[in-house]
Amino acid sequence: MIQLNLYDNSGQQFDLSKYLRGSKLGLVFFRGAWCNFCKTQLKELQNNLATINKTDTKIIAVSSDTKLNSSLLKEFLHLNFPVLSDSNFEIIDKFQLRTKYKDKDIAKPAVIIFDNKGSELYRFVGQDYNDRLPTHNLLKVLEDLSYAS
Amino acid sequence: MNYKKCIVCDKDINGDIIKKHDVEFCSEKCVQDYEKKLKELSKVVNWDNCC
Repeated sequence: MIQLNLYDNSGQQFDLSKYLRGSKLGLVFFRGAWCNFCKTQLKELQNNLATINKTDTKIIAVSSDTKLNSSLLKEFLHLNFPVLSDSNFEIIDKFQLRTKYKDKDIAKPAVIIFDNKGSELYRFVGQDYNDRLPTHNLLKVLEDLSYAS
Repeated sequence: MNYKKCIVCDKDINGDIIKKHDVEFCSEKCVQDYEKKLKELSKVVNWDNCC
């Protein structure tokens, strides 16, 4: 099982095993609620959530936003997957995704997929705001991983 | 002891927890502040202040 120190937006340890229930994990890193490209990506993920879930994958979105902004974004965009704060960069640094934007530390746009044992199956790391995994490509990756397993 | 924190003021919630919007608040005032911020988001026409 993958070990990630994630916290929900009330500051409690996020129960990853309860959320995943044996599914794969798609960890989606985004730059922040202020980034339009990120919001578009998150909305696309929501629009394709049923298809994603059919590949036995659960999504968690992570950024360096505060818990408050993460929660507001989730509600504002009507996202049915967790949007978690990693404002101390524990998870972002674990995967070496920290970058700078206008002197501010943020996460690179990235997607990492893990199997239900915690092994990394796939990783895409974008180097800039418009370098991110298109949702249709993510769906193809998930479909291929489903066939492979 | 691991106290829960209010999503708005980030203070430990020692008294009654108010659960709304999938998160937890320490007071009705913080709930109102949260809802105000949510409304403000809806008014933001230009989200393009980035990149």
